[in-house]
Amino acid sequence: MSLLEVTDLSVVYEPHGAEPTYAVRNASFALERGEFVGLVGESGSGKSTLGFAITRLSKAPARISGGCILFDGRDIAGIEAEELRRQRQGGFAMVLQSGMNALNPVRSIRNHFGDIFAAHGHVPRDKRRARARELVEKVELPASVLDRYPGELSGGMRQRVSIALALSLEPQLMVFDEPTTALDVLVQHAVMNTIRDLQRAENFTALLVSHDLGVVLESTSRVMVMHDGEIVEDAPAAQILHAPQHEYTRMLLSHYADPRAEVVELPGLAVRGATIETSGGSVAVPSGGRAGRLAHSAIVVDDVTKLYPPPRRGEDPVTAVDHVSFTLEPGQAMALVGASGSGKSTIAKLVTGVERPTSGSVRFGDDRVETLKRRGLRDLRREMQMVFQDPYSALNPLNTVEYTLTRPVVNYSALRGVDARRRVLELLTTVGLTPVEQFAAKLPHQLSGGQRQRVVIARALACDPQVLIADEPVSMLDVSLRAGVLALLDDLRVQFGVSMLYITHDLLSARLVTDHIMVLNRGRVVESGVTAQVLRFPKDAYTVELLDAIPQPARAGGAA
Amino acid sequence: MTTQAMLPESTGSTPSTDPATVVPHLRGPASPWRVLTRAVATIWSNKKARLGLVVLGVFVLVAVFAPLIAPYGASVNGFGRNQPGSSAHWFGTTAAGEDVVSQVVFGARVSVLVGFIAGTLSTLVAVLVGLSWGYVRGPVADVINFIVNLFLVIPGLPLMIVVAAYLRNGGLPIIILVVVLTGWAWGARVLRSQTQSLRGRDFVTAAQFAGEGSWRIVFREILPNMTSLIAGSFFGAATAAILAEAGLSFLGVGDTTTVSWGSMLFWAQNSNAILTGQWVLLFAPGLCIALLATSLTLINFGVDGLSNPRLREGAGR
Repeated sequence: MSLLEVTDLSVVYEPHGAEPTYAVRNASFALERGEFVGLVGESGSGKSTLGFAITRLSKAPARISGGCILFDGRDIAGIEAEELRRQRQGGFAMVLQSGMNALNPVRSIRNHFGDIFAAHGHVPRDKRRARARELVEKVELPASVLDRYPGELSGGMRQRVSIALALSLEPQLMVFDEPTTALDVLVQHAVMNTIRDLQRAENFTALLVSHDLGVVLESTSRVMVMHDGEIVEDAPAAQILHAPQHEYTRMLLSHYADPRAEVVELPGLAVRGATIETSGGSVAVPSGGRAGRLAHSAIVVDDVTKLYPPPRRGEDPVTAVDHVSFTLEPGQAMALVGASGSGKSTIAKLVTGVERPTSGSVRFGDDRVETLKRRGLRDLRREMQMVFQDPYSALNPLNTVEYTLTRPVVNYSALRGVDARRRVLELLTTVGLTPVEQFAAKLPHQLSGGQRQRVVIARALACDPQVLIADEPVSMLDVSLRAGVLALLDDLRVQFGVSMLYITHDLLSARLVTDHIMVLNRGRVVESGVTAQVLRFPKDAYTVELLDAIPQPARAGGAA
Repeated sequence: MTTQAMLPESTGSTPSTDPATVVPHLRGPASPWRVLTRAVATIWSNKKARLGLVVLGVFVLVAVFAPLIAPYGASVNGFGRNQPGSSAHWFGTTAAGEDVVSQVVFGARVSVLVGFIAGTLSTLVAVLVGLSWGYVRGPVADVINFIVNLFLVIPGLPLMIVVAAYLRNGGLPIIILVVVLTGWAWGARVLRSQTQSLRGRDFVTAAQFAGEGSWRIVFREILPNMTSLIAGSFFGAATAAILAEAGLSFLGVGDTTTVSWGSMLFWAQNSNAILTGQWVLLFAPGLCIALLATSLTLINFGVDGLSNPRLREGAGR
């Protein structure tokens, strides 16, 4: 008999005063004992809702509207709260995406374990210490973390603690809901390895919910693909990889590529991939006739260091950027890559004049950016614009698209009234938001993530800048939307002849849209050069580590 | 809620090739009227707040139509003194021979007026100070911090009494001034912290990149995102103002010739109404003050949901 059998499960969201939404529709599947299964889908596909439903963690306004969940032979869809609480021991547990924030900041890690042992009483009092120690060692943490508080641990350590806490109830079924999404690239890789090893060693049944098909294929033996609330494909990992049946699965797969490959192609970006190859071979500044105005000023960053005041009294100041020098030639696209804390975003702040360097200089044309006052900064921003990481917070939720776009047009040009409006509509056409009249009248919450990011890009283009600083412009977007936004950025860059500083931790996208690359580690440049060259033949160990951390569906193929 | 935002003239329906001919003027984020109706609808959807709105509505109507509702004038004192309740004078008459019902009805005018004017003014000061304080950095912020802290640590009631006694018989405007003077600091501090958290959001940085000036960023980008906080601050300030006015009048430092619930209490206390068995003299205005303050507090429950959809949905459980 299967450990978990879900038949015709439907979950509906019934918010107050709004139409109910069916997030999960008639899902049926079974999990065998000891199986590691992946559940993949993009945002809004209902995968998390399903994960919550089978662990009975759904909260209002979500409601299980039909179907049954047989766990170990009994239906848990309708059992009462107290029975459910008891069921959690030796039953099912969940590790949340923000699990690292699920710890109580004023209680030590040992207390967290103590609470669980006391609530269920399944570990005798005198064995609790030893058991807690054993559990944290299972997730590869030293026993000393037991006496520390959540605030003293890093994100990755806290996520490991929450995995250990979930394990402490000796569950038969573990549901991991995006367990590594909120973590840094390198840490993600390490935590995923721990989860895989644990699953193999403890032999519990596990369901890995993730948006990242790469991660899932690497770890699991069977994959369920979810789209619009329905499970569209359910097959062994190898089959998903080599012979995907559903069109949606094929689409997801097409967005993975190895940045180390000779030719890198993504849907809509294939041509560009080939161009890189030619320019990579000749190690030259990218050629090509530019239709628009040429960017005419270079950004010269000369031996820049940025120190931040120490986090606590008596400690050393934090070195965010350590003697970095580079030149962004007009019309060039350069990638700044590194894990979080590598100083890449600080460099963006220094270049745009938001922060001032502790030493060294940043020059843009004839201006010294670090000495600019208010008026000078305004003039700088006429030429240098920014594309923000999070399209959900970069647009004021109360302003229409038209208003958002009109402001820079009015501020930086002589266009007023009807002319300004015409320019706004032109911008919307440029970024492909048509019909423009409809999009102009919309508020941000009526747009999808990809559409919002297009508005953000349109705003950056409004004053016809020479330089675009793109800070992780696609990291918050679904895989299927990324290629579109990247292609847009790339087209615009070539079309208008702007130079671009592309900040990212994602080496694949860096390979696709940039000519040059700089790899940063702890504020230092460890490697730089032509993108294709650096990524294909990395010299520094850190670059190799970053490359290895990228989930590769193909690796699963080898394992299976 | 979202459907309303989509309602306004759907520009897509105008089949036009020349963009210049359609909607030549800019549409703001949302017209004030639409914001207001949406806000009222949100508050109305909360049961407690609905009750509050009804009670407040009754008081406002009573205040507006006082001359029509009250059986006699507010300071007509030609009746017998200290009379118990009767069909002519439901709550009896005061020691000065005035009709108590009429006084309660007219008293609503002062309380509602003070509540709204003082509440509005102190919210206005709080918004101006709080937002600019939250947005600026450096020594200016420290100076504002010092001043606000000063107003926070000064005990409110004694200050009110001192100022009101000093500017004696200035009438209602002085009371309002005093209430505003002592009431804005708390709101300013709350709005400042929200401003500080909002100014770190990307859309504020984006507005700087779009070349916006500081004033426009503060009042056009940040302010509309704090509607619920400002509304909450207003109802809090109005409640405080109503209670302060009643307190000052009761202590006799206001203008005791104005008919308000506070001054009714003052005169009732002076004439030992409890000892003569005329408890209604104290009870009626006291209950009215409590009810009005409660109605505003109840409305504040609904205000919480204005900008936080989670709370709105949680209410359904």
